[in-house]
Amino acid sequence: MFDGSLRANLVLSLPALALAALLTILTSLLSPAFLTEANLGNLATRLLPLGLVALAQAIVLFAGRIDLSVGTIMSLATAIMALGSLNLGWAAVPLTLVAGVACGLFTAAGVILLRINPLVMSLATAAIVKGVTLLLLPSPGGEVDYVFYELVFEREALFGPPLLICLAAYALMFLLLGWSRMGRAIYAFGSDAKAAFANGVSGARVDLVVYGAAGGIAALAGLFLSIRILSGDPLIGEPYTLDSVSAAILGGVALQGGRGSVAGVLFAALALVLVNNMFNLLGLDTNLQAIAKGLIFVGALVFFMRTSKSEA
Amino acid sequence: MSKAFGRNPVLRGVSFTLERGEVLALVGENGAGKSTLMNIISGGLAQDSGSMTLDGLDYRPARPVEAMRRGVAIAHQETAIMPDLTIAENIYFRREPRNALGLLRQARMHADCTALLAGLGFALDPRALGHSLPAAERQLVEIARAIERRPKLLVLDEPTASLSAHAAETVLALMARLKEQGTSIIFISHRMSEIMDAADRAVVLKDGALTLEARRGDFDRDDLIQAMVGRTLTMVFPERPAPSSKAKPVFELQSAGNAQLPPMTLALRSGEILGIAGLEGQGQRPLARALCGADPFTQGTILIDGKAASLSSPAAAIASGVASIPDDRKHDGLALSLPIRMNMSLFAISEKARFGFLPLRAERSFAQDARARFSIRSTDLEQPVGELSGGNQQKVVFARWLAHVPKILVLYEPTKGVDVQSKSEIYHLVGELAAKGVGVIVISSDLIELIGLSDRILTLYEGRLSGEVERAAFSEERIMALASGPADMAREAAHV
Amino acid sequence: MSLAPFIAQLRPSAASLRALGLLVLLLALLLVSSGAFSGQQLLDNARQAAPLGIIVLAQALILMMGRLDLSVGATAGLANVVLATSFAGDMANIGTALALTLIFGLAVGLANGLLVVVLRIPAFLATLAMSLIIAGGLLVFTGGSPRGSIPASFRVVTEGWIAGVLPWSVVVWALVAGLLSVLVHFTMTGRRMLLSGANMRAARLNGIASDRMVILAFMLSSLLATLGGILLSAITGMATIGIADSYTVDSIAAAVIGGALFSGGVFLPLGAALGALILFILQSLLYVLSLPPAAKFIMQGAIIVVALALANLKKER
Repeated sequence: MFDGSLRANLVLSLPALALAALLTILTSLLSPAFLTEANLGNLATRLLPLGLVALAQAIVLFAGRIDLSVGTIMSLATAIMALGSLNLGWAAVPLTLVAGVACGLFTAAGVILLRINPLVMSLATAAIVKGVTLLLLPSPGGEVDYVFYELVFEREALFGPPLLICLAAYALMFLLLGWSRMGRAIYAFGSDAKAAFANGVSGARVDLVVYGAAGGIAALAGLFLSIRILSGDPLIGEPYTLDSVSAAILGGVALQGGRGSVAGVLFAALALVLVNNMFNLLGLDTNLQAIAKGLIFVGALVFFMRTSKSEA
Repeated sequence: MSKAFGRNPVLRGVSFTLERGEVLALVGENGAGKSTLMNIISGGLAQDSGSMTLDGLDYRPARPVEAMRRGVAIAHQETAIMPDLTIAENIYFRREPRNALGLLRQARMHADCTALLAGLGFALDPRALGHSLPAAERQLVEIARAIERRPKLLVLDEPTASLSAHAAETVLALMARLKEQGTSIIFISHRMSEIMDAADRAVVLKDGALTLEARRGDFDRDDLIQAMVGRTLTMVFPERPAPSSKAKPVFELQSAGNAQLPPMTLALRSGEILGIAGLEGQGQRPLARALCGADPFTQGTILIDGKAASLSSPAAAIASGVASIPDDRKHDGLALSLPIRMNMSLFAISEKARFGFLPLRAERSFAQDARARFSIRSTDLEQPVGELSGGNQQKVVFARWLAHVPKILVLYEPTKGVDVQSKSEIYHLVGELAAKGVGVIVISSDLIELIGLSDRILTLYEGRLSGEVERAAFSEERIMALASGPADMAREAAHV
Repeated sequence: MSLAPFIAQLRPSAASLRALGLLVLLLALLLVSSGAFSGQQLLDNARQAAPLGIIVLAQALILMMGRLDLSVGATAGLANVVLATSFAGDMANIGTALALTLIFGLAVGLANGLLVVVLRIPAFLATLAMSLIIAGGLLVFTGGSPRGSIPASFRVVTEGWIAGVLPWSVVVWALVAGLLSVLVHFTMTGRRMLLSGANMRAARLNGIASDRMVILAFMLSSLLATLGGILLSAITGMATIGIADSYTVDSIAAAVIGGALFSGGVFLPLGAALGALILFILQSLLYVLSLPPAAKFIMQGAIIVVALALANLKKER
């Protein structure tokens, strides 16, 4: 079943699994409130946007690229939903997703046509998307139809719609990345772009696919975020950019590309949500979280950069 | 099939034909244009003029994938193996078996691969990841992938350069089998004996032009070398007296080694040029990197002029008098975006700096002198070094050391991608330095270069020194035999 | 005695001249549209652009090293809070205030450098994490509402004009740009930094202590960002959380207008200064045209894309 490089990539997910398990045990020991139905439901609710945006980032990283615009795409999605869900109804959903994909394709176009460094191009996309979002929605507000909330978040339970949606997205990507030729090409391109080209992979196509998919999935993350807060917020997505990279690295995805599995990213996203949950349950200063996140990020980078191929 | 290109100055109007089921040997020195030709055939580059036909139809692949579609497969010498995929995933890449839903059948593919490798006679594990493979195994994977595509035209770019004599025989036998099945093969090799054995026809390139085309039986080894080099070897290589056997050793390694390099002992005399030969990936890179201090020796003793010396970092190596010319000048030698002046002057300005300020006038005059002395062809001193030809770039790397004449000069593939004119200039420069008493170590895969330049040749096999040949006894066969390692020699003996 | 080699070092690059052309064009447009644009006004623009200008120099230095510093905005913001807090509105505290602020800045730079060199974390991620840590740290330290203020007599740094002709901040800015030019183009250390930035591996193999050069560059960068933060504080007079955040992307946009490349090995202080001035004038133009603040971000992104696309197209020709 898990043959070949799939197995090697799953092995890279194990540290994240261990970390998530450890944090679960630790938090449940430290706080009796942890294992309540309400708190577990809350965990799943928080996992949904972070998990999705981390998935988006991971797909880009597999190809050896990075996307620093995923956070602003989430903000844009909340703005579109907040402005559109009441008048457009369900049509707001595809509109949001298309906008996300378009943002990703814009980045890819800059990389392919203008030959701009992918990192910098995604930074430029981030600035432009932020500007557009602020034009649409200069300050937090708008309204998302409660119908959506009822559908997704009404029931506070661990195995409610949020967790199932998140797992479904991961399962689909796990399948596509591991068992399709495109998925194989993405890994190959990230592993060694020159070798992949010599074997017939079109780099442009990989860029279009990974940035497009990441844009769409980031928009999906923003969509659920807007449903949860029942409104839009032009800046809400920004912290998610670093979180997404953080979760991907923590999940064993190599920055240089070609390595890692979405399974690890899911565990890592869970671990980050657990850290957040622990801070809340223990009543620690929420501002400390930003510092903790920065440190976790550095720690993850140090841990995984050491074990991966060393630079000559 | 006929092909003609006019890609100045790398390829100049080359035309040749290849029959079905024929093995054509393409011969030429490094930089003669072979790889450019291969890249054009495999769709990696486009020619400027000229045309190719395949089975009578126009053939002009814009990308590698088009070449594959037309039945042309190439096994590159610089292998295109994805490091994070397994051998099977590499071989069947983009042609993986799929089920009805379009999903990949991993188990089936690995099973197919096992059968394929057994059929080819390659002892490889289909589940091994690309980055875990040594050079020889990567080469076999590259060959297996090309053959698995069942091409009409198979291009093998130095398929045996990294292989031991035994593995090379397997590949040559395979070529014979494919030929009988009607596959046409273009075969690039530096090994004369292989060419004489396997080729139905030979085509020689020199400086991008075709200098010889002959059928089997109509050429011999000397014809090939003559056509490759274009003049007698004595003109390319400097005429040097043999170094005095009384000369003191300037550099000694005593059981020096590190994690990638088993302990080794060698001595280099002042004014001696010592060649180091070997199949690809037998420890040349670790040795070169240890000598220049990049991946230092961690055990043993290093003596320079009879005194213990440290090569613990590049800076320490330079301070000890060891100069290194890296094989990959673009990544390890030059700052391509910066002017020639800055690339040449590093040591010159370090010695003349006052109070930490740049000696700009001294820098300029040094750079002017160096450029004239090495006849570096550039618009001016401010031209970015990345715009120069390979040969001129290499001369810039050499010029740096004019300001800081070393005791020991380590050259690693010094003429890779260098035109013949610059090559000869570089050989003469090395000769001059040796005449001044500099000890020179040349690590190279080019046997003609080693034989022409060295006073003595050592062979490397699996990181160890496996043999030594003095100038009087130089021969390609002798060196190849020593380079193939003791295991192979024993196997040969068992066959007899 | 020939001065040619020295003058050659100072000859403005083609990229700087293009930026100059762009600035002249922009000023001409302003002149045509508003009818009046004096040298005085230009200097006043430069006065206000000085904090950004110095931060752009910081970014340009890191770009020369082939890396990216995504913490310059946060570092300038840190300087703002530390300066205002330690000044506490009293000019008598100037020594402590400046010393403390600069020490914080150097510490950030040292930490960035060590993360990049010792732990081998890619610079853009290390500095991104650093900016997050700084932002969190400031929130924890101030509880979200920083205290303190900058004494009026110190605010002369950006508000004051020398003899009513030349703003102090422009003098500081020019001085910093000049010192950096001397460093990069006339000293051994600068040459070693330049070579390391153009090709780290080759520099190391030629005996240059490249790692130290990278750490030095990050320390200089943070020091300059801090200086920019100090000038900015002198304009605003008080501490504000996140006041300089947008300077991070601004600094990249301005540096690329000034001809900086992401491949490293290029340092154009004149280009960086012109880039900062152009960006500042464009931004105030958006304000004059009463476009929403959102336009500023769109412009940031568009500038980066267009400037880099033009640079790449030129390279291919």
